[in-house]
Amino acid sequence: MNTAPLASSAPTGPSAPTTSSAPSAPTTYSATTSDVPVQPAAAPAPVGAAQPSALHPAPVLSGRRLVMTYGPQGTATHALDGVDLDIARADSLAVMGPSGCGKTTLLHVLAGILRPTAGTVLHDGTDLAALPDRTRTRLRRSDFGFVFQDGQLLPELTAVENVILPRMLGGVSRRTATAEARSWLDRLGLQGMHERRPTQLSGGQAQRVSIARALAGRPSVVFADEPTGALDQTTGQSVLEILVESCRDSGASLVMVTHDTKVAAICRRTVAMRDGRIAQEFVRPDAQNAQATQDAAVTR
Amino acid sequence: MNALLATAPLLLRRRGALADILPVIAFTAATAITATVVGGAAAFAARTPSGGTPMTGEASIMRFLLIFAVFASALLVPSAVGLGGSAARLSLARREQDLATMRLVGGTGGQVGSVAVLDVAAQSLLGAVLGLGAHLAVTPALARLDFGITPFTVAELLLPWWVYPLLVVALVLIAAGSAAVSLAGVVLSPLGVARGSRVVRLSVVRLVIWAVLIVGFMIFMNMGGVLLGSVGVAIMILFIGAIVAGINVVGPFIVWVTALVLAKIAPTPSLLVGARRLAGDPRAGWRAVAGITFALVIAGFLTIIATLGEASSPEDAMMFTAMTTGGLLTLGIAAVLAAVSTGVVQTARVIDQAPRLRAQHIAGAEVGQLHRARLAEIAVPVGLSSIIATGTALLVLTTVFGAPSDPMAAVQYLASVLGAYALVILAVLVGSPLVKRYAMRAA
Repeated sequence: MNTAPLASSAPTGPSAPTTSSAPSAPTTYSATTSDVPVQPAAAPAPVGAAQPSALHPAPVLSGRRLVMTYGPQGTATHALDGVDLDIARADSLAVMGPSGCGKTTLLHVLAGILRPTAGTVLHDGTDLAALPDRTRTRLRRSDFGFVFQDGQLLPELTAVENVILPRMLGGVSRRTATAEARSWLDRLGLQGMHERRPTQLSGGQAQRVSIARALAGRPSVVFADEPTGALDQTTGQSVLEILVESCRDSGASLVMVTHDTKVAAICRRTVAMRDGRIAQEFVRPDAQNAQATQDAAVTR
Repeated sequence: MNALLATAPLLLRRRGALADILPVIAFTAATAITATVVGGAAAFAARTPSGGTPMTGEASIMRFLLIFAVFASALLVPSAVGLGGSAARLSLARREQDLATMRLVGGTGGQVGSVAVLDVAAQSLLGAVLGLGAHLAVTPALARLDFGITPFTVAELLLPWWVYPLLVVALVLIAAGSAAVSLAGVVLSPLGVARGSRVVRLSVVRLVIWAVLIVGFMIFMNMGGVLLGSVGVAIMILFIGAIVAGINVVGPFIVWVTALVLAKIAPTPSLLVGARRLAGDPRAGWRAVAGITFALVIAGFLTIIATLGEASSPEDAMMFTAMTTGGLLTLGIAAVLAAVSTGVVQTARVIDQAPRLRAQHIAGAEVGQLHRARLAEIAVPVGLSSIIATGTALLVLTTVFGAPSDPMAAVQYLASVLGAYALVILAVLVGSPLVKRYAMRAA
């Protein structure tokens, strides 16, 4: 199901080479307890990385006329009220808005967690809203990654076991999944911490484990719900940079719900919601994403 | 303090019927079982002659039967009281967020801790009163059981009236004490309840103590200890009691070591999660099956009775009937204890893990996979407890009576093991609808 332009042979850790023409080296992160990213002195060749130029006009996810209603008729609340939204491959999108505006509901509907009351969510030509829960669950496992506000790591499992768990649920052997997971954890600056429990990690380190878990399955879309909500500003900023860069390097699109404009600014696109509708949309045409801006399909 | 007590009912809000009722069910079962078992043992004690006069018939075997009744009580009462302690910790864990809120609105650590302990005490009081009701309700049925001796009357099986208030007070104090001890390990702060994140390590001394008991027992028996007469028999029973009680000491250690090994090599995600949860809290994992282990040991002892053969005198026949009925009754009570313990603990774990179940389902874990992880978590200690219980029963059996000759004994034992497994699966299934509900709950 994963259609990102990546290597498909296992093990497919973050350093599995797929192209020799990618222009920039992926960032690696400090192995210390600091959450500040550092550039490696001699980074390996950019690997498995879908660069912004790989953005494809065909959206990886496409929501049309999405309506989500809670409660009985008459007193119903419209969490989504006719939302149209496309998400381009390898793009990054922030969904902003005040509490209760419908941003988390939109994320859940796009990810196939909730079925919309009306409308369609197309992913690779399939309408998620029409699929039974079991199929949507499998699709979330194979095609999507998730980063939650508080990490939601299983406290009894070690860091590496938390990362391999969704892969093993998807039928990947423990040996293969472990090789991939160790590679991801090293890449995210968690060398020497593979066997630590979440309670033995700092908040930023635990969130990096969550990012490794989300990306280890080579998802086409990563959904993040207030991923820095439980972190201090400095740690949160470094976690955000890791998240965005890791998604970009992996060719995964990022859909991030936040109420913080500084957090949203790190994404190429931002949509602002109000009363279940998209009220505004911004595109950030900075140098890094210039190509992406050119190619991305911004359709609403 | 008065102001805090006044606001406590508001802050200690109820969390839904099932979450609140679980500790009460556990306290009820603990009280009912304790009262019934102690009442039964007291009935045997009242029938036992004080000695001196030569005894015939029924009176001649009462002393032996009393020893077995006390032995059964020694097996069951600690487990029942332990269930009460577990229920107290369960109730407290349920309240952690509320306790943090109370700290936030101005309660001191001591005040909040007191309110928490009082809350547990109130639940245990309700459970104890309901448990006494259950004890009174089942006693007439127990009076109909055939122990091979003159049938017990309901009055004989009930305890003196003044014992009941003492029993209730004792159980409430044990529950409150367990809650207080449990609170000592946490920090109640306004921002939440922090638990120590220490990695569990259990000492190999547990295994050594148990091994010493077994070796001591075998040496004693091989040296002809029982030939010493009633003192020898008493020592033998003490040894057996200590070995059986020691299962609870060695059990968590064996569960811990096995879980660590399984977690390292688990080929499936369900086994990985189940084994890690067990390794994180092996005592809790063992507690969930401790009752079943005792049930299996008792079932093993029943096989001894099955191999004794035909009774050669009326006294033997009485003894045979009394031990068979008593053994089955003990097995039945242990089974109820195991079912309540497993059901309560497992259901509570599901409630506690609701946010994580939801998060795992969102990330692609199917409901069936979540069920399998729970089954793995309980199946490992059940499997180990079956092996330990079978080994213990077989050891006692062969040491005291020699190798069993009746193949039906093995069949009867196997049926008991399968029954225990069925019981565990049923107890785990009680929480299954909750797993699905929490996993698929709308955010």
